[in-house]
Amino acid sequence: MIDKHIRRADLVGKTIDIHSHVGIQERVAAQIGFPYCSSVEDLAYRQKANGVDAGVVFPTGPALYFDLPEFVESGRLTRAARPISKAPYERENRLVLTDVFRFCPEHSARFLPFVSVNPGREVKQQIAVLRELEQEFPIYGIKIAPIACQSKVTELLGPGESFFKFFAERNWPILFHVAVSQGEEFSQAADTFRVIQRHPELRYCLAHCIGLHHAFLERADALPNVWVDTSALKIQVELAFQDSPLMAFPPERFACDLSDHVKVMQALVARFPETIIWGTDSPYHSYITRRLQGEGVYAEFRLKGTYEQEKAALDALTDAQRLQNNANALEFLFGRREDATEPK
Amino acid sequence: MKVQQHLRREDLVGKVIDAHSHIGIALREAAQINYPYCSCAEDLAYRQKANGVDFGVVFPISPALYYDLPTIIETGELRPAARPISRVPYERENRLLLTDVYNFCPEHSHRFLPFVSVDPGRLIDEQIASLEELEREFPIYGIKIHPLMCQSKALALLDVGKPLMAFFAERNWPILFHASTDPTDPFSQAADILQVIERYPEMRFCMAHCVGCHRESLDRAAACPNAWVDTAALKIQVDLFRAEKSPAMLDLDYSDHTRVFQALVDLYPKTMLWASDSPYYSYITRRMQAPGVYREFRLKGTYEQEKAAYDALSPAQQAQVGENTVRFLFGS
Repeated sequence: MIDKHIRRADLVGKTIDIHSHVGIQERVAAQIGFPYCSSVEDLAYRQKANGVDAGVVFPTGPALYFDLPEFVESGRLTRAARPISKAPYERENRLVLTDVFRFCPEHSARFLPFVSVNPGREVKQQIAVLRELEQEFPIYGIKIAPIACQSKVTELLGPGESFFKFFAERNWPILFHVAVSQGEEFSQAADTFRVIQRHPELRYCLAHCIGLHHAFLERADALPNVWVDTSALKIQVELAFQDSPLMAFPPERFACDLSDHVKVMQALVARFPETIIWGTDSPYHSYITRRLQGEGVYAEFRLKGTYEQEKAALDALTDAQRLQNNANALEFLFGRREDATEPK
Repeated sequence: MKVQQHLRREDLVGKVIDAHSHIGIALREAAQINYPYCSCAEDLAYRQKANGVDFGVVFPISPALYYDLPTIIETGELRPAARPISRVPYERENRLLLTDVYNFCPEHSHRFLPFVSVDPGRLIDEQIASLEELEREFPIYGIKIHPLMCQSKALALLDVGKPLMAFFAERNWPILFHASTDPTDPFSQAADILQVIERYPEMRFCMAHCVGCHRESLDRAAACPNAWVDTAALKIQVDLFRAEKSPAMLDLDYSDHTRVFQALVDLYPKTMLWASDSPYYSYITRRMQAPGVYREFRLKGTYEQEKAAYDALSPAQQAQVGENTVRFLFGS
């Protein structure tokens, strides 16, 4: 492994976006959805315009391992006859890392690249590819979006089990996309907690406020190795405000004023001060698309937000809350200074 | 029935206009780990705002979705797909661009003048039908033609592509050409494009990338009242000019791209437009120039460096460049 280019000390007190994407979305572009792309340079402009110092970045999807025409037409991931990627995310991970470190060296001081894995497919080959990449580039963690892979998160407890040893040896934290919506069969929060409890030796972050599901938020808060990010908060809160089935529904929903995502951020941080981490999901703070959720199940999204609206949520916190948010991000990224089993 | 234009000549007078920028994805570049590989309206808006640019002409990157995607990614060759995603070249890419500008990012649409792209030599009637659909939904301000990207010669417009020219003329749409004097690019030769320009004196044209600072081509363009030349990707073009200077090029100080722009505006005051080529002010790739012919590029620039060229002009030169741009876009 090569030396890390950013260390904990570099990020103390800084504004860190814990969740953002780099890459292209072939299907979304072809089907005229949004967003369909982002590059490191694009993210750097967003960060600079909004006073953000650093960001965790990872790919958007694993399409290049799959049959592209089939994926574009139906949204289904079926292995290509001659895959472009050697394994799921091989090309996409390399693109993120090459963009951060070679194409845009003037911006690399801003970015902590995570690599993505598919939780259940071609695990040995994926690990072999990650071994190649870590010889060339510093890697800071793992992002797993089970729905983007169309692989259940619980595959990590089956064919994906060997990932854990590999990640633990490298002290890589894992950021999970999670969902609480009915019909989303891949990324269910309850399944994700099963995975986490089986592997308490690692650090985890659960994305999108876990759909504002109160019991899951409490459960994350009770675990010393689990954090929760706010990525795409503005549009998540809009969904909750509309009582969308994509979010937790009363009485399971975290009780707060849903009329304004900024107030939701304040309420979350007040209730779970050592658990919540700010993230934008850039460029997915907007989401205008038709997504395959499960076999034959599609969900339509017509949601619009901006990086500025995401940042407004962080700006509405007190100075002390922002400092705590930074400390949470650093603990997730680099580990606790003290005993990891200490309660939060 | 065309929809009403959302920007008019008077909105642009005295403003900083980027005459050449892209929106879309470059599938082969992303898959082959090249750069740049994408840009969207929102990203361009950030670049423009950070650099004091008021407006931008935007158009797609490539017509890939009409072709067999695995073949494009593997070889760069455009082979029609068995079941094309686009009905014709650029159908999806044009729609993505227009939808991004007007529907996905309405907060930025006042910044952008979308051009649509066409392939000059393939499926002419079908492309026209596709453009007729689009113009009923979205304001369109002109045409971008990138013969090399289509692997179709510019000269096709004087032959099979003639109906396209009649269609554009009816709509008073100006045409921006990718232009080259690189002998390995048989599709976009400046001499061919100048033939098209001279054959259609009633239409307005712009040739991109300073036409390689090729003296004869620039002189010929400057002699045409209906032709302009943009500076798109000036910094890296000048990097190339330094490395590959030829006697056919203007005798300029190529040590600094900002000086090159000053000199070009001095020499051709009514011809030059400022443009960034965003995000292609960097270019790190292996491009197929012709069947079996590939060229390596390792060129890096920034939007800031492109804008520096504009900023280095005198106020009078900036005003003239702005006036040229408005004339190209809307006519005299």
